[in-house]
Formats: sequence, C-alpha cells, structure tokens
Amino acid sequence: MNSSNKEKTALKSQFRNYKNLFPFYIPAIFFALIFSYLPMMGLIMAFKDNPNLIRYDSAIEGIIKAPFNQLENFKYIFSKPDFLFALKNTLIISFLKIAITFPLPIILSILLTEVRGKKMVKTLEIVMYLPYFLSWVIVDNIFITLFSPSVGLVNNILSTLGFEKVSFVTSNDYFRGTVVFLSAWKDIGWSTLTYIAAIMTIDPALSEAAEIDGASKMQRIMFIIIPGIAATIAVLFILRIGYVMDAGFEQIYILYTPFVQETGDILGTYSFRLIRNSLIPQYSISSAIGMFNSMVALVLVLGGNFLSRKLFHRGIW
Amino acid sequence: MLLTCFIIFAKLCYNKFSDGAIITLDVLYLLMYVLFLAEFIYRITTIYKLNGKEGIVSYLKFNKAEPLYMIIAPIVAVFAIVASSSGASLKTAEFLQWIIILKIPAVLRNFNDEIVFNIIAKIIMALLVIVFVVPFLNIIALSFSSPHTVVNILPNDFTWYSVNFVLTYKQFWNALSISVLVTIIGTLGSVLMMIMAAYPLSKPGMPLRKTTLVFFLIVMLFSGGMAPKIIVMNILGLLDNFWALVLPSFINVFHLLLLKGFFEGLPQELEESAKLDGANNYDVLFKIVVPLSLPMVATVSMFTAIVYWNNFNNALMYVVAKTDLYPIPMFIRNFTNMSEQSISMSDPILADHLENVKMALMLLSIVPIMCAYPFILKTFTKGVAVGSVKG
Repeated sequence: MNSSNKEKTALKSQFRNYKNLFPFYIPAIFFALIFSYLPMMGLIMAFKDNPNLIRYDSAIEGIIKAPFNQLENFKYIFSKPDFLFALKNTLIISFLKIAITFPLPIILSILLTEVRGKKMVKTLEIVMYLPYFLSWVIVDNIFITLFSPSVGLVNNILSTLGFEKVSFVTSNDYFRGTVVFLSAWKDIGWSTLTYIAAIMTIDPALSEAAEIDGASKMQRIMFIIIPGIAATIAVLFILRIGYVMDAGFEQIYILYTPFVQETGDILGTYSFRLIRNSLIPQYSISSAIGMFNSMVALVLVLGGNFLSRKLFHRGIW
Repeated sequence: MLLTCFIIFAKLCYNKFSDGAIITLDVLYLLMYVLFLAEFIYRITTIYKLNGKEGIVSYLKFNKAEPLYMIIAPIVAVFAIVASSSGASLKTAEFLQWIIILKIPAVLRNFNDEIVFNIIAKIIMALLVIVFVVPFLNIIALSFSSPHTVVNILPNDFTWYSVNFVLTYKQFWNALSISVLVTIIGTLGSVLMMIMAAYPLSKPGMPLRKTTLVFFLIVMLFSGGMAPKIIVMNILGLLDNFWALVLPSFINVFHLLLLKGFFEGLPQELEESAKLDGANNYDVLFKIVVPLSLPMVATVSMFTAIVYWNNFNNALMYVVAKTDLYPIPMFIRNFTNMSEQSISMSDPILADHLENVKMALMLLSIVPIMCAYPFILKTFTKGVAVGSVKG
C-alpha cells in the first residue's frame, strides 16, 4: 500500500466522520451563490453591448444575445470626463478621509485612557458611540439642516460672530470638507473604542515604572503607549488603504446635489445614475465601472492583507 | 506639536475672516496676554513668599527673558495699535500676535505637565461633548419649534404640530412596520445561517475547510457591483418585493469569521461527551455550542440588527416603484427630497412647517435606537473585547 492510497483512505474516513456536518453549509452557500456569485457572472456584461432587456422574454436571454465588444466599454469610460472626474473625486475624498479620520481616534483614545476624572470620559463615551448606530440618511439630514444657510445653527453662530454665511453642503468649496467631517463625526466613536481596547492590553506597570524614573506625561505617551499600539495602528492603516475605492456611496448619495458634481460625484453615485437616471439604463457601462472598481479594490485588499501578515502576523482572516 | 499645527491652521484661516471676526480674535489674544501676565505675577509672588527678596533676584537672574517679555510685549502692542490706527501697516499687529502665540509653550512648561495634560484633555473632551450633543439638541429644538424662528438648542415658540404630524402620518407607521419586520426576519435568518455555517468551519478536521473558507471570503472581497445585482433581482422577480430587502444581506462574512473564531476557542470535550450520549449534530450545535457562545452570538445579532435597521442600499436599488415598501431610511430620504412646490399645492401648512417636520421625523426615527442604546452599549463594549479579530 503506497502513501497516496493511505492518504485517500484517510480522507475517506475523514469524510465519513464529518459528513453529517455538510448540511450545515447548505443555506449559507445557497444564498452566497444566488446573491453574490450570480451578480459576479453578470459582470460579463462589462464586455458586451448594453443588453436590450425589453426585446427578449427574459433578462438572461437579453444578456446572452448581446454581442461582445471586447474592451469597448472600458475604452469608453476612460475617455469620458465625467468618469474621470468621479474617479478623481473618489480618490481625493478617500485620501482626505484617511488623512483626517485615521489619526483622530488614536489621539482621542490616548486622551481618554490617560486623563484623570472618569466622569467626563463616561459622558463623552456615551454621546460619542451613538452616531455610529444611526443610518447615514439620518446623520446626513441632521447636518444638512444644521449647516443650512437659512435655518442652520452653525450659520446662525457664524453670522453672530461676524463671519459670512456658508452653504456647506451645496458649494464646491466646502463639500469635501463636509463629507470628511460627517464621516469623522459618525465613526470616531467606534474607531476610538478599538484603540482603547488595544491600549488596555499594555501593562500598566511599564507606565508606572517610567513615572518613577521621572518620565514626563508626553514621554510616557511617546515611548510607552504609542509603541504599544503601533502594531494595531499599522494593521488598521493597511486595511483601511484597502478600501480606498469606496469613498462612502450611501453618505455621498444622500448629500449629493447636481451643484457639487465637480467635487462630490464619486464612482458609486456616477454608476448608479447611469442605471437609474438615464433614459436607457446603461447596464454595460455601469458593469464596466463596477468591475474596474472591484478589481482595484481586490488588489488593494489582498495586497494590504499580505503586507500586514508579513510585517505584523495579523490580517483580516 | 499639535498646538503649533493648530496655530498655523488658524493663521491660514485668519486672512479669510471678516472684520468682525478679526476683532473677536484680537480680543482673545489680548485676554491671553492678560492671562500670561497674571500667571507671571502669581509665580513671582509665590517665590517671594517662599524665599523673600533674594529668591526673586536669583529667579530674575536665572530667567531674564521672562520679565523682558512682559515689559516689551505691551510696548509693542501699544506701538502696533498706534501704527495700525494711523493706517501705516497691519504687519505690526500680526507681529504682535506671533509674539503671544510663540509664548504659549514656554508658559505651559512652567506647570506640572500632568496637570497641563489633564486641563487640555478636559477642554478637548468638553468641546467634543458639545460637538456630539448639539446636533441632537438642535433636532429636538427644531421639532418643537414654530417655523421661521431662529432656533439654536432650545425650542422657540413651542408647538406640537411637527411631532403630531409625523405621529399621525400613515406612511411613517407603514415604513416603521416594514423596518421592524425586515430587521426581525433578517436578523433571525442571517444569524442562524451564519451560526450554522461557522460551526463546521470551526472544526479543524473538517474536509474541504480551506476551500469553503475561500468560497466565503470571495463574497466579502469581490462584488459584482450594482448593475448585475439589480439584473439578478429582476430575473428572480424580487424587484419591488418585500424579500428584496431581506435576502441579499443574509450573508455577512465578517460575522461568520467572528463566530468561527469564537467557536474554535470552545472546549471540545463537552461536545464529544454529548455525542457519546447520543446527541446529533443539531443538538450539539444548538444546545451546547450556542449557549456557550452566547456573548458572541448576542454581539453578532446586535450588529446584524443594526445593519438591517439602517440598510438603505437594498431599498434604493431594489424598490423602484412601490413606495409602501420603503423602510425608514428610504422613507426619510423620499420625504426630505419631495419638492416644496408640490407640497405647498396639497398642504400649505405642511409646506410652511417643512423644516420642522423633517427634524421631527429624524427625532422619531432615532427614538427606537435611543431605547435600545443602553443594551447596545453593553454588548458593544463587550463585543470589541471578544471580537478582536483573530488570525
């Protein structure tokens, strides 16, 4: 009996031992196939002419009968200024979000864990975590009113202080800033909590020993706490980079008005408009955008995960 | 460091401000100088009390710059004010600001840095509390105010009209019931499905384990995008159907991984002894594994419920024409996007109160989350501790 045979029998007995467990997979695999894998197959539309869904009896037939056109759709989108604008905006908004909303929770978590007087911390924690559980529709609408030039609180304050009134949501100068601020407002609590959990794992004896040796508060933060959470910061940063292609569709879709197309139109809103707001839904071109988006995102996520595994032995899976 | 960044930022903004704002800022600078002066005098007097005259002399010898600064700064200030009022140049006034700004770190260094840190941290935290609380106060205030009044954080000209309108608005209750149904069915289905899939995945000896894991990871990493999803729903006949709000979000790979990680950490002996006693897999999973991992299951259920409650994309993409299928988020979006003209045609009073009614709608949609919030907070903080992703 050679070794491969032995392996085979081992595998067979393994299958026999665990065969009762296979049915557990069935519902999950069924839904994953229908709602995730089937749309992936639909990406074939990216290489075809726009399917005529009305002429044929079923949509499947329409997709199959549409002729292939090689990379025409991709050539088309990359020659279209609207798409290039959207791509540029996606990247800019994403990087702004990373640059501003990534360091804030780190600073805040250090403040919250180091400060004396826990009453204040408790209060802040309670109000800070709440926005994370609200939907974007609510958050956006609250701030549309708060920032509005006519009834908004912020503009009331600005005008009493002698500033000019600013329309934050509908002007190209402020739209990106507003988007980043809202995303910070909504998510800062959740991210802070992650870092607080990381800081809690640092041995408090280290800090106490440094204090006895005469280290100042700043020195203790710089040389004990920050190195202690450096790995967490690095992993989260690499993973965050992986989601650069998603600038926050839901958030921006709700804030979006045609006034801010120049600075606020991102890939998600652009491709959604192609389907819903054009006379004939542009499924093929929208698929091409979706495919481009997904491919870049996939490469970034896999690359980021690979890096963080290599450097810090931690990843998302 | 941080302070310097902030100051540079402030300087950059400075030129953009209007005159009124500049005067406010100048007053602030003046206040700062007075504070510095007060602090300096306080320090001198304490030294005097401790060491007498000799103490002061030796202190001034040791720190000559300090009194020099205190004397020169007001002279420069007077000079600057004279210069700018005669219209010579504004540069001198800016010079004065720099003098005061650059002094800040030196003054701070005189204190115990623990105390300074605490004070700065408390100020930042107080500001943050304001940033987080004021929007909520504002919506509450607006919901109870009459239209066309200036409302900040307290209601102006109290009225029940807006809240009353939303509470008697039939479509609001309809959207609420759709949301509740979607959340309950979705959470039950999704969590059950994820538990069932995570259990075999957590068994190290399970054949094809890696393959199945990759199968689910692909779902998380690669998405077909909007267009194919809409077409698939069209083919399945689920467009404008209640189930379109529930079914597509059943698979949540992140929750699957969380559950799998937790199941892997459970002791194997209990399950084995239960199997020896003749329990089948279903009994083992639902009578032993799930009760043992109740904290994780609770966390995942809560997360799933929040995902369903806040889900906007499903309704946006898959509900095209049937407005009575809108859950709360989509209903709000639809309501806030109605054109004012069409409303003023049908209901002039509503058009008048529109801003307030919108905020009342926000307020009433936040209420359910507010009610669940203490419970959410409990599981949430616990969940992060157990849920730190394992490799």
